[in-house]
Amino acid sequence: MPPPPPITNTIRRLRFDHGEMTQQQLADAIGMTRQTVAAIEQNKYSPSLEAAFRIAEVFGVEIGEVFQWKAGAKKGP
Amino acid sequence: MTMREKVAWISVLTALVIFGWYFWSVWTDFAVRNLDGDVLFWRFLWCFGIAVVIMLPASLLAAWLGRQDFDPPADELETQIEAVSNRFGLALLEVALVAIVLLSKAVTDIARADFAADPAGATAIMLVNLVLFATAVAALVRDIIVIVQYRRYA
Repeated sequence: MPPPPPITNTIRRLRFDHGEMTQQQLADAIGMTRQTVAAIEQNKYSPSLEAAFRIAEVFGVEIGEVFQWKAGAKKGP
Repeated sequence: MTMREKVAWISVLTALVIFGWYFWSVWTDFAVRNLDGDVLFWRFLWCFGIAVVIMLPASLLAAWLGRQDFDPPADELETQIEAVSNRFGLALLEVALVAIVLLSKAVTDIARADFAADPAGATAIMLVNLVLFATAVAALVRDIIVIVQYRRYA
């Protein structure tokens, strides 16, 4: 299994801040399955840039507030 | 569980039971050197029909029980999962087809030695069933890889 992407996210907290929005509600809002949202939230899958912007748009925040590059993460080849 | 994973499970289980039985029956016919093309043709058609009759209602039932769309559009993760599994399945099919071509000499020799009444017919039946077997295995592996990937991301 490949290592998790060096990206963290605050989707769980943002969902909490938006009235305990469910993963299904977020998935419906961005046109994905609940399972894909769960995989993104658990940092098992890195979404496309478009999907990342859509998630940020749903929460009304900048993309940087949703996804953060892990400082000091191992660089690729 | 997404609808696509449910369909993959249904497809794997149906293929294992129905086509597992079909290819086992072909093997037993071959073992006693009694290959009848007409019988095998209709047996395969029956198996194919039964598989469709099982898979379609089972998928509809799974969608209804899970209150899901029967054939929802794939999102980006699902598209990626399908691409990876299709790539593996296609690669396996390519290798298997080349292997069958390389085996054709041995198949012809077996047909000439053990099916003297109609070696050409026996060769055709064996090659067709080898191609069917390769196709079924490739499809099965493809669906298993779909399930494995969904479980990895779950």
